[in-house]
Amino acid sequence: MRCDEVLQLLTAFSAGDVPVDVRPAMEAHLSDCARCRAALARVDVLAGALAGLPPPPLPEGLASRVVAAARQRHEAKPVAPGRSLPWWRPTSAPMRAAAAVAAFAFGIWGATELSQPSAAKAAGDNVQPAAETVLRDWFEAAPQDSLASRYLAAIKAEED
Amino acid sequence: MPGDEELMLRVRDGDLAAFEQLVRRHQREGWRVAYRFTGDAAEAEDLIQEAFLRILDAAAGYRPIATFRTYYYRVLTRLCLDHRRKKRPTLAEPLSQPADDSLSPSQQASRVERETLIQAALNALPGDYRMAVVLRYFEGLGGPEMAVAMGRSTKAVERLLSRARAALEPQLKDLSEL
Repeated sequence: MRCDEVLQLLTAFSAGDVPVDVRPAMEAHLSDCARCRAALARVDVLAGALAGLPPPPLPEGLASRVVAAARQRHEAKPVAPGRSLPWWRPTSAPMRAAAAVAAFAFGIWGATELSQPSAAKAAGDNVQPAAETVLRDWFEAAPQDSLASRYLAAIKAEED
Repeated sequence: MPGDEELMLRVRDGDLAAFEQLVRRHQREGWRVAYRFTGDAAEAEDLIQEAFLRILDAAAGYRPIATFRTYYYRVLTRLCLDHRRKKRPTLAEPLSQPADDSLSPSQQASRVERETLIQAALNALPGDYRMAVVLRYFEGLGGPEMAVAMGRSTKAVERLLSRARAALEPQLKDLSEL
């Protein structure tokens, strides 16, 4: 293994969370590389400092307040039972007729929209979050101080 | 005692008593995550409440394909990260811990100072770095579980941890003196 690969996995190694097929190679590298051993020691110090922090005391009555809020919401909008009547049964006949008219109108509108450029934009909006996650993962793999890492830092600064 | 997933199936069928059991069982870990993430008790409580209400709202479509705990972490993590995007964190006073009789007054003061320093260092991290630190170091989650909770790949989570560590180390170098 190379140093950069080992350094990337030190936190997991310190927590005993490295896959068994990777662990021997990591141990072999650490026994030969003083720089990575020093980095591992720093990881252990940091892990110890964070783990040594006492857990924040739980506020009294937290669960009761959550449940009270849930009951309030439940009374306004009961949880739909998982094995309730079929979805079409509780509706009245006029509502079913209105739904059929709305579905027909939506179909006409959809057919019109699909032939226009705005449909492409709407589809793009739908896929954007997934694409953003993939790009972000990809940029995070870029070396420090590279153009990609500076771009990622600029995005984060904007979000923060 | 019924398992979490069994309780969730009862919640799906409209059983609020089962929901209450889940809240009581998991409030503590949710509180640790939300409090360490925000550094603010009031915001942490709002986030936990919202997480449980979202789980209740979505209960009708619940299917036990993953552990409830993972599902819960995922909902809470998303809420925390969204919250972070909308609001810059402020450093609140650390919650007062129950008195530890085995510590001298100066040791107690040192403990508070240590906690303030760590929380300030956490608050200075970008949201995703901070969440990675909270899930790994305070909750003890492994890479795959963190990946599900954060909606990232296991490799991306390890990279986040590696960079969070690099950002935290200089800020926490004074810890050994406390």
